[in-house]
Amino acid sequence: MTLTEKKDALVEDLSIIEDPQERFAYIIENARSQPALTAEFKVEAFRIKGCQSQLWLVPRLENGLCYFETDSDAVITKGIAGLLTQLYSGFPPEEIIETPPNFLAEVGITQHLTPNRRNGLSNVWNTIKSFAEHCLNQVQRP
Amino acid sequence: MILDKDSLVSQWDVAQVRAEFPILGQTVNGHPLVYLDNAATSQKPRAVIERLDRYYRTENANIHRGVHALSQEATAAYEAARESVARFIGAPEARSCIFTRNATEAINLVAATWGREHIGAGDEILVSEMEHHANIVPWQMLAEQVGATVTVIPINDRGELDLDALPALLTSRTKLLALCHVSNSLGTINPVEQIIPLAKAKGITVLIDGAQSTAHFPVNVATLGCDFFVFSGHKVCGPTGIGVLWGKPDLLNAMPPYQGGGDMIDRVSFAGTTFRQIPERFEAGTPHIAGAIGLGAAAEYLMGLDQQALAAYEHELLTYATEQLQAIDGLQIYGEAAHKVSVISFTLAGIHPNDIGTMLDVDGIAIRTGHHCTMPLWARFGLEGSTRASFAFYNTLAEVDALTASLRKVQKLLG
Repeated sequence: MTLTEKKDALVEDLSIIEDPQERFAYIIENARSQPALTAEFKVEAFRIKGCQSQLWLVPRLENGLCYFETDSDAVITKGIAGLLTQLYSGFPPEEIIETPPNFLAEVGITQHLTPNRRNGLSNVWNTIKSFAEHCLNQVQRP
Repeated sequence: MILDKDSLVSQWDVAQVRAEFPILGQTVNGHPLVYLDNAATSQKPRAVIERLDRYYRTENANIHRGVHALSQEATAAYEAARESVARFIGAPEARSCIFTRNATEAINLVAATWGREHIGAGDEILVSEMEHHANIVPWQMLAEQVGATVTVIPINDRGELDLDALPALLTSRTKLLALCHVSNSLGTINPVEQIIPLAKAKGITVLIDGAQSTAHFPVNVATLGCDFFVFSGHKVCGPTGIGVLWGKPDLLNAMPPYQGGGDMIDRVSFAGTTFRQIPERFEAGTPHIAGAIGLGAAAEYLMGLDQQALAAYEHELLTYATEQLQAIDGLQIYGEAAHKVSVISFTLAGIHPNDIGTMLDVDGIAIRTGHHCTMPLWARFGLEGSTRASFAFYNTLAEVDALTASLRKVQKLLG
């Protein structure tokens, strides 16, 4: 499955849920299904700035593919950040860079978020993208 | 005739009051708006909205130096607003009310002018543990510049000032006491009437941050006996971008100007410039004319309300909301002062305030989450912040019920 196909599948899943309350229930469920980060990763170096809550994102590169894990002290923040980290995990850096997460607005995810949190969310994407760019530079370096 | 509390409450026709606030009639996310974020900003009555509209439609011109009719009309309206604001806070002279952008700018003005002249190395600036960052950071910046120290009045677990600790903190080096009248996070009403004389007896200048008090009860700066009093227009049903610094006239006139520019000068030459007296001295450039006029209308609107009935009604809201919220398992209220306004900060066990705020918004309920610009206060309670519901005289008991019902739903989903 390409990243675009995976993204389309996620959009379809989220679009079915019309009721905002249920959409958040889905996000909360998603947060709870993700493992918690251990204390060694909940440090300043992995913290995403711009959120009212604490949010950490840990990236890694394995066999040319990027993987991301996230955790937060707020469940909804973790759930939304998790949608992104789950989506982009397992793809090569160039594919990630070409696929920004503008689909979130289409499926009504950002409309209920405070600007503060939306900042945090755009910082999640910026972090994912920066990591992918960094990986790409490493790979392309002779 | 002496009225008891219940008959005062029954005199408050909340439906009629709400009808004056057009925004309250809308739905948010498919639910009737329940606006409980009044400590952040208040909603605006027709009287203010229509005054702003009338100004821009029929009176708009630059003030003070125009000889034409519109300029004179705008000037008259601007200065009339200053008179309204003066009456609103009991200032004996309107000229001692300086229009600023907000309470924050008013405090920064005092810090940058009076503070730079009167506070030096080794001096102390006394604030309290419950201050808004706006009444901490300008003093820290000043202290760093001049080598002074910021000292702090502690609070007790109920969120009241520790008055026993106060006398020892009013030292011979204390030059300024900068204190909030009402805490924005806890709702605590500080006994400033009792505290100000203690500071004045030691020759200490006193600044009162009235950003939260002016929205809830009448203030009289002359009776209080403080030297400076600041507040923001948008929290008292006025427009954003306009606030007030009140100061004793002699004190203000002796202060160096804050910003230089048009309107604040007496004569300008390249050899040197002389400055005007208050209020122009501190109102450089074209001010927020519409904002000031809107604030004047807001002050008139609030002064026209039955203050006793308003106070009784807000007390009723606070009491009912406190009871209903306390009945929720795992909900803890922060700020249980004997005297407080209708502001309730709380935590819900195991649920992040951000998640609470997000889920309440789904039900059309506007509350605030986070540190509310009082990080040192929350550190005192060992917290990062809280969820805060702040009620105004146009909120209803039914809205309290909507809040508690929604909180129980949140608890089911997230708890």
